Formats: sequence, C-alpha cells, structure tokens
Amino acid sequence: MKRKSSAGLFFTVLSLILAVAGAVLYYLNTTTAYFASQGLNTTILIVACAAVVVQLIYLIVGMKGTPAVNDLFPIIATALLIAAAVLFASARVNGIAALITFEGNETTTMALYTAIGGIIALVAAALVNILGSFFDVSKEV
Amino acid sequence: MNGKQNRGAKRAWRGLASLTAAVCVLALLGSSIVNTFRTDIDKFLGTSSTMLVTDPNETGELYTYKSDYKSTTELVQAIADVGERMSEEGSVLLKNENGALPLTSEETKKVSLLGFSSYYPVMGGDMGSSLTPNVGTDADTVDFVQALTAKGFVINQTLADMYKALEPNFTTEVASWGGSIKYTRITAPSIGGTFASKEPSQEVMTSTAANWKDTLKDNNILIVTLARAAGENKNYTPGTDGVDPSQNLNQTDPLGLSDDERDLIAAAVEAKAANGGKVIVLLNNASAMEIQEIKDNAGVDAILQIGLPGGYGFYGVADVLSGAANPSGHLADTYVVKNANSPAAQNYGNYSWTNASNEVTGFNSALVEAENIYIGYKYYETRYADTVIGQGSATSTAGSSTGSAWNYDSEVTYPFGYGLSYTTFSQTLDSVDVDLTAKTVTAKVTVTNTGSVAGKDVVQLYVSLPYTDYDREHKVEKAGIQLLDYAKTSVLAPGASETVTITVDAQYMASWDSTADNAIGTKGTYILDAGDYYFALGNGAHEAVVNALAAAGYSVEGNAAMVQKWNLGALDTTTFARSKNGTALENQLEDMDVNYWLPGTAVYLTRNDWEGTWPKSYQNLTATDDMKSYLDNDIYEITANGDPSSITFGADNGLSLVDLKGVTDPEDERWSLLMDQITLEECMIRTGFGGTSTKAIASLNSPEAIQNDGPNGIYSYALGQYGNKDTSSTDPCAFAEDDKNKDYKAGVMANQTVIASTFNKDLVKEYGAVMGNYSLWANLTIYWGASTNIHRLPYNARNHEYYSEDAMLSSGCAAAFIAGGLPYGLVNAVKHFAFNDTEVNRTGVAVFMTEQQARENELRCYQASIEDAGALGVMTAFNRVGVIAANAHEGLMKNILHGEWGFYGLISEDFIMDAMYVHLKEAVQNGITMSCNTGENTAEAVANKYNYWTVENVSKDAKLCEALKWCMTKQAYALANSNALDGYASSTKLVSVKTWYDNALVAAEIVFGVLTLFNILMMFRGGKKKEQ
Repeated sequence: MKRKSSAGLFFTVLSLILAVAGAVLYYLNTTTAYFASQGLNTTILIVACAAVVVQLIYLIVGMKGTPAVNDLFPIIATALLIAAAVLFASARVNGIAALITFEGNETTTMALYTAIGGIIALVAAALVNILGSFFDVSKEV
Repeated sequence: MNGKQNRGAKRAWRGLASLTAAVCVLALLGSSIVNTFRTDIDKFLGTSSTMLVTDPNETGELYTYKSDYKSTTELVQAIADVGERMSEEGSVLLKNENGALPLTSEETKKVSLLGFSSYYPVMGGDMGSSLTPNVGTDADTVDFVQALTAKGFVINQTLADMYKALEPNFTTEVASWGGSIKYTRITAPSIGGTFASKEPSQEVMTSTAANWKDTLKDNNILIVTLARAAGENKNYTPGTDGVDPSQNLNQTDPLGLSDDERDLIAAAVEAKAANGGKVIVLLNNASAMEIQEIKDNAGVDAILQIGLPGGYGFYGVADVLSGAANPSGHLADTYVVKNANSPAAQNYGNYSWTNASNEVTGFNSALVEAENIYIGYKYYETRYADTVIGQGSATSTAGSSTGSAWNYDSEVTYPFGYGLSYTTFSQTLDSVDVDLTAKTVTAKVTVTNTGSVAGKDVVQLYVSLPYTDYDREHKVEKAGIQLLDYAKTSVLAPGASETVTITVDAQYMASWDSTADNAIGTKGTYILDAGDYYFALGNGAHEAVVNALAAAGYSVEGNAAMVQKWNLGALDTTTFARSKNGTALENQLEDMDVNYWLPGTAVYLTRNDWEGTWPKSYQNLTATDDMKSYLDNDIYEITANGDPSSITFGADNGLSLVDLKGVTDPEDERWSLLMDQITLEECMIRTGFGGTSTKAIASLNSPEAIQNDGPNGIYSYALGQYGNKDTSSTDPCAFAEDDKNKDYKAGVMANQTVIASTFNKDLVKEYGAVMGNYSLWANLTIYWGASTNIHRLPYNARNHEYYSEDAMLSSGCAAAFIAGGLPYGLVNAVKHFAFNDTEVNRTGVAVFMTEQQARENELRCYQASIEDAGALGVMTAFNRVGVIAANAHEGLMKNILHGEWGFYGLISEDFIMDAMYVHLKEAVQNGITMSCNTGENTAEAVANKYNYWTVENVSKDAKLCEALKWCMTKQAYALANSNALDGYASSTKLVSVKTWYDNALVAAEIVFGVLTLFNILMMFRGGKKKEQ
C-alpha cells in the first residue's frame, strides 16, 4: 500500500529540529564563561537526545505504516522533551535572573541568550510534538 | 469509513495521551524543583511550607524579644513617623537668601511646582532600595504633591495638568526581567550608557499649556525640582562621555545641568522678577550634582538638598518648607564644581586587563585607586590647607578645573558637613581631653542658639593631624582635616545652650603606617605622629580646617574658640599596635597595592607633591602568571590533611539550638556539644546553598531564618507573608488574617545619604529600632541593611545605598542602625565587605589601593559596627581585593574582620552565581557561612553545583572540616541571639506543611498519570477495534 506524508510528518520534523536546536544551545551554554563552571549536566543532554532518537524512529516507522507500538513514541518523545526543558530551566533559573538584573554585560550576553533560547526551543519542541501527536506521519494513498 | 474513523480516534487519543503525559512529567519534575526554590516560591505566592509545633504543655516564655507596639497600626505609623523626621532632619538647606525659607502660611497656598521631578520624584533606587508603595494601609506612602497637599499647601493646578500631559516626554522604558518597566521619573544610566535629560524644554511646555507662565503671577512661590536617579548596577560616566551626545544641551557631565534645566530655572527667576515671590530649588539626588551655577544665580533664593525621600520623607520636606521643622541637615558629601577633576575620577571606568579572559568569571578588569586617602573632602580640604601652608605644590594646575592655579573657591561649591538653619548657633570647644591610656578623646562643646527660632545643631568634631618628615619618608598620608566624631543637640530654644560631650575612640585619629615595626616583629601598625593635633569644630570640613589653620598661626579668618590644641611629644607606634580584643596588628592588605604585583606601576597621590603625583589613569594592565593564579578563582586545593576523624560530626548529644538561646559566650561548652551534632553533609549543603533564606538544620533543630534586602527598610516581604496570623497563640506580635496592614512592605525610608545628613545617631538608632520591631511582627530575622561602602566619587550610581564619602559619618550611622535593631533580635548586617565602590565590572574587578587608604577610608566605615555595635551579620563583596576575590582574601576576611575586630556571626556572599567565583573552599576557611546559591537539600545537589564539593573530597581535608564547623557554629550563634528562635521551646519542632501548590502537584501527578494511561489504553483499544 502506498503512503504519502501527512501533517504529522511536518510537526514531528519541526519538533525534531527544535529539539536538536535546544540540545545544541544547551551544549553551547555550558561552554560560556558564566555557566562553564557548572559543567555539563549529561542528564539534560541524554534526555534531549533520547527524544530526538525516539522521534526519528517514529518518523521512519511511521512512513511505512502505523504499527500500534509506534503510537507510543510521540508520547514518549513529548515526555522526554518536557523533562529536558524543565531540567534545563531549573539549572539556569538563578543564573538567568542574575544576568537579566545585574550581572548582565557584553561578555555574558551569549550565556543569557543561549540559556533562554535553549529552554524556549525545548519547550517549543514539546508543544509542537504534542500538536503533531494528533496527526499521523503518513497516510495511505 | 470505519477504518478512517478508528484511525482518527486513535490519533485523538494519542494526541491527548501526549498532552497529559507532558503535564504529568511537568508535575513530577516540578515537585523536585519546587523543593529547590521553595523559599522563593513561598515568597512569591504568599504561602508557608513550615510551621512550628510546640508541646502544648510547654511552660516558660517563648517570646524573648518584645515589640514596642501593640498592633500593626502602631508599627507602620511609627515607621512613617521616623520617615518623616528623617527627612526633616536630613534635608540640607544649602542656600537661603532674603529669608526665602521658611514660607509663610499664605505663601504655602500659592506654590508653583516646576520641573517634572516635582510630580514624578525619585523616591528610591531604580534597583536596590526601591520604594515599596503602600496603599490602603494605616501608613500609605506619599509623593511630593500628596505630601504638600496633606500639609495644607495649595499647588498650581495648571502646571500639574501640563506636566501630566507631558508624561510621554519624560517616560523611559528600562529593561527588566526579560520585559521592560515604564518610568515617568528620571532613571539612572546603565553601565556603559549615557544620561539623557528628560526635562521638557520651554518650547514644549508652552506648546502644551500656552498660559503656564501667566499662572506664575498669582502662584509665585516657585519650587523647581531637579533630580538624578540612582540604582544598583547603574553608573554615571564622568564628563561628556556620560551624556547623550544627541541632545546638544550643553551638559558637560551627567551630574551637571542641561540647558533645559537651566532654562527652567531662568524662567522661574524671570517670573519672580516680574511678579515677586521666591525661587526655591530642590535637589532630588543621592550623587552630588554640579550646582555652582545655581549657587551663583542671584535669582535663586534657596537651595534644599532632599536626597531620595522614600515613602514618607516628603512630609518632612514639606515641614521644612513651611517652617514646621527647622532644617538641621548637613552634607554627607562634598559638592564640587567639576566632579571629573577629583583625583579619584582619574581612575574610574572599565579598564580591562589586556589579557582578560572570557573563559574565567571575574577575570575582567583592574581599578587602581591612585588617589590614596584623598577622596571627597579629604582631598579638597587637605589641598586647601596646603595652599595656605604653601607646601606640596598645592597651587599647581594639576587637577584644577579652571586650567589655572588650583584654588579652593574655584573647586568646591559646598563643603562636606555644610548646612544652614532657620536660626543661628554659636559653638565653643570648651575642652578636649586626650587619654591614651583609656584610648579616648573627650570633647565638651557648648552650643548656643543665637537666633530667634528653635532648632537643633550638629557638633562636628574634626582633627588636623601633624604631617611630618617621618610621614613623608614613610609614605604615610595625613588629611589636613578629618571628622573624628559628631553629635546633635536636642531642640534648643532661642537663647538656650547645651553642652555636648563627645567621647570618641582615639584609634580613629591614628594613621596606618605600613613600614612601621609592630608588636610582633613584622611591619604595619597604627601610629600617632609627634606634633601638634588641632581639634576643631565647624559648620563643615572647610570651616573646621580654616579654624585649625588659624589656630596654627596661618593668615586665615578662623575662630580660635572652636579649636583646642594637643601635643604629642614623640612618635607613638605602640598605643594602637593591638586591636580592642588584643590582636596584634600587622599588614594584611599589602597585595592590594598594584606595585606588589607589578613593581613600579603606580604612583599614589601624596600631599607632599600634588603636582608630581597627580594620578595618572592606569589602564591596559597585564596580569602576570602569578596574578593569574588568583584570578582563575581556584586557589585552594582540597587534599588529605590533618586528622579529620578528630573532628566530630553527627553526634547525638540531645541538644537543640533553642537550648543556646541568648547564650552570648562563644566559649560556653554547650556550643561544642551542640555543634558536634551537625553532619558534614549539612555543613557542606548549608554553606553551598545559603540562598534567600538560611534553611533549617535538622540535627540542630534550628529554624529557617528569612533573609531580607535593604537598606531603605526590610522590603523583601510584606508584613503578612511570614507574620503570625494565629491570634490564639501567645505570640504578642500575632495579627489577624485580614489585618489592614498585612500587605505593608517596609521599603519606605529615605535613602542612606539623607540618613547620614541628619548627623543624628539617635534618630538612626530609632530607625534601627523600628526595623527591629518590624522584624518581630513580620518574622523576618536577617536584614542586609547596614550598607556602608564609601562614596569614592559621585559617579557610582549606587551611592544612594551608602552613607557618605567620610568613614566616621558612615561608621556612626551603620553602628547606630545596627545597635537600634539588636534589642529586638534583628540581625542587621553590614555590607558589602569590602571595597565594592563601583558597579562597573563589580563581579571580578581587581581593586588596588594602599593599605592606609583601605583601612582609614573603606574599612573604618565598618569597624565600629563590628567592634562596638556587635553586628551579628556581614555580607561580602562581589569584587576582588587586589587580585584575590573578597571572599577568598584571608587578610581581609579572616585576619581583619575576625581576628582584629572579633566578628562572630553569620556571613553571606553577595549574589555570586558562578560556582568557581564563589570560591567556596576558600571562603569557608575565611569564615563565610553561606553563598547566595540555592538548591535541593542534598549532598548530590551541592556537588552538582560545585564539582569539588563532594563529601569524599571534603571529608579527608581536616582544615576544611574544621572551617565548616567553625562557620556553622558562628551562624548558629547569630541565630541563637536573634529573634529567629522566638516561639521556639525545647520541644518545638519545625514541621513541613503541604502548601496548596504541593497538593496541586501531587494531584496533577496522579490525575494526569491516570489520564495518560487511560488515553494510551483507549488509543490501543481504538487500534484493536479497527482490527476487529
């Protein structure tokens, strides 16, 4: 049976891109001078990457059919993305507050923007993924 | 069709499952995160996560500290009363020609307020000591118009309406917390930003209300308000660089006037010329402005400096204007013609290291404070003295604002300590007794009201120290005059006299000599030079130095009756060789001198040669490898050392912190028994995560103690946030849930410069007392309130939170403030210890100066608070001391603060977030008891934050283990001697309470977890139906 892509593909790909962006921004954020001393929390990176892997599996399998087990993957991906976003935000909330109020200067701009941007990207990835969960990746022609 | 429908249903269930799973995960993780930020969440939501449970059979007094008030109404009205009187006594009358002030009753009915700052004044900081407006309470805050109206003034409504219509002209948007805040009052420039005058031009005013000038005919009492704002993390850049270049308003300095401000004054003077009346200029500022042109303007009848009056201070300003209060304030800073010409201003800005690193937090810039001890009046009056004496090339052009020979009258507008009254006083210095055995100087001064209006007068006791060949040889600097102490009379009726006795610690007239042999065979101690000491009175530092010079035989017009001379026959290096607690003194801050690290780099200003040593600007310094070993923030290496097993942790001795309630002897054996109960993990967590409240420690059964910022009042939390609303309890400070004042916040006091300008220690002590009372009603124990860094120069926009350019005035205020709150169990902490005198690169700026400068200027601001007032708390500074972060500087923190001064209490870092710059392993060895970071109450969480701070690492390091116990003991001591333990008995337990948000999270976890499973089940059922 031939299949063609459906709205779910668009949303899932978008979510995947946002998730990758979030993970990259997190990594970049850990290299900024302001947050470098806090080190890399591998849990955040692992959770975000796991979400991306799950989404990829969902996409690949979904383009070929709709096996029941595949329906679990967007749910799992959403949970992982939310977890990554919350863990990232939790690790950075004090620092962001300080940077916004009185520790902000030219050299810390990158630290602030990558932190906020990364959190937003992961939250957006989760929201888009939720939306995408209401649609299949592909449908029969 | 059915297949499609089933697939559709499946997708719907899948989407719903995704949604509910997201919420479920959010709730699960939220519970964990909530514990990390619980105190801040409770603060924001007004909830409480703990409650005290005491055995109902417990007998004995649970509440040690007593409030002076019986209700919150009495409390808040007392705060308002102090606020009003603070501005009555802290507003400084600088000029009063033609009997302009006070206004008559008739004149108060025809007031024209000019300047947008009359209607939108600066009442607190942009950030830091911001005003907390209170509405609907028993002590609502007021602005200038409201205060005038309440006091029966009638103001020109046409002008009020005009300025209202002009609001868009002076509205500023300031970025804050990811968004922006709109201010209709003036704001301070950001660091690196410029000042933009917002005063509407004459053209704009006339185009808005064409007849506004006509209304000045009948309303001819013209009050012009000029303002400059203040704020933490804000800055005024000196000179034209600090002014918006696009404005072209002939403004040569951000603290000088713009053409629009000049034109406004000119319009007022012109109106007065046409219609009669008066022109009064109010200065609504904390940083000293350049106002020579206003002083010289014959059309301006009066100038009143009102600082930032807070929530009630404008009542006081109104009282001064009407004569209900006789002004008695004196300037806490020198007002000069050109701020940028001071020696300190030659080194003020963002001076990056050439090899600054973006990879290391705080390795950013260096600031060489090459002015030596000569800040503020110490510079201007000393150089003046030298022009009279004829020494040190004082009349050279170096530093002259005119380009010609330096001349005092061309440099200073109003001297430090200057202030006028509605009456006149005479003062005679009847006697001065210097007792080097008792280490005191006792002066008796008779003050007589020689005028016709009752009022208070300030006695300012100065001393002029001998500047000798020894000093020149040993590079010891001496100010030509320096404030030794001060006092204020009671209200004196016309003709009445009062004899004021001032007894001051004589150590404050000693000078630090880094080259002198000391009591322990090293170098560095306080000395008293041989020679003549002139103790002098004066309405300000200038009058005092003139009096002293006259007494010394120089040809100046001084008053000999205001001077007493004392002679010391020989150099004294022993009387002050030990501190009050007997600690031998020695150099502790040699590494604050840049030449210690980079020999021959800096020449510090000396009065021996004003011209030759006039400060250069020291920029583009390069840190050496030796310096970088400190600048990289990793100084101490945790190693296995000593015998950690000899340090007891986790013992079960059956004690609670409440058993040590009120025990003031640190040597009491019960302290070690109690502190043996603490675990190493608890020590590590509590030092690493001090946060915004000092958390409970289970092994000690010690309570959580909430921290609050200041210094314009305890403003972090409303009265009702942590206040006891159980009126059935025995708490005398309990109040009803619906109390009218439960939302009252006490960030309402006039700013520190106004407080200092009162020169009234009793009034400042009253302020401390009323905050102590607030602390009892609000259950807020720790207050970062006694902010007392020195005003190095006016460009630091955070000067509003510090008292003065003078150490003794600052010290007197801080000590009185702290002492006032102690009887109520308030831990009012001094901050920011030390040398945090700029906001530019404050996290990491390497501050360099001589040790004499450090000890006699900045450190002297704190000394009495620790040694005499018994402060139980300190907050440290963001900056470096030399190249070493303040928290890591052993000489400053351990040896001076604890060793010499005997500090014993809690110490918090400032809001340093970076785990390395916190210098935790170094800081605890210096007695710092907590950082400002927050986190979950686990060893894992603190190790995640500070990767070196693991139990495995620390437990093998006996030095660190001992330091941790020491820190926690000091902190426990502070809490045991505060009102944090009020309501506690031996049986009291602090129990956790599930807040509504805890319950909501649990409910969400359960509900959405079940829903997620349900949705997944339905999703699969939908698939099976399809198959079927």
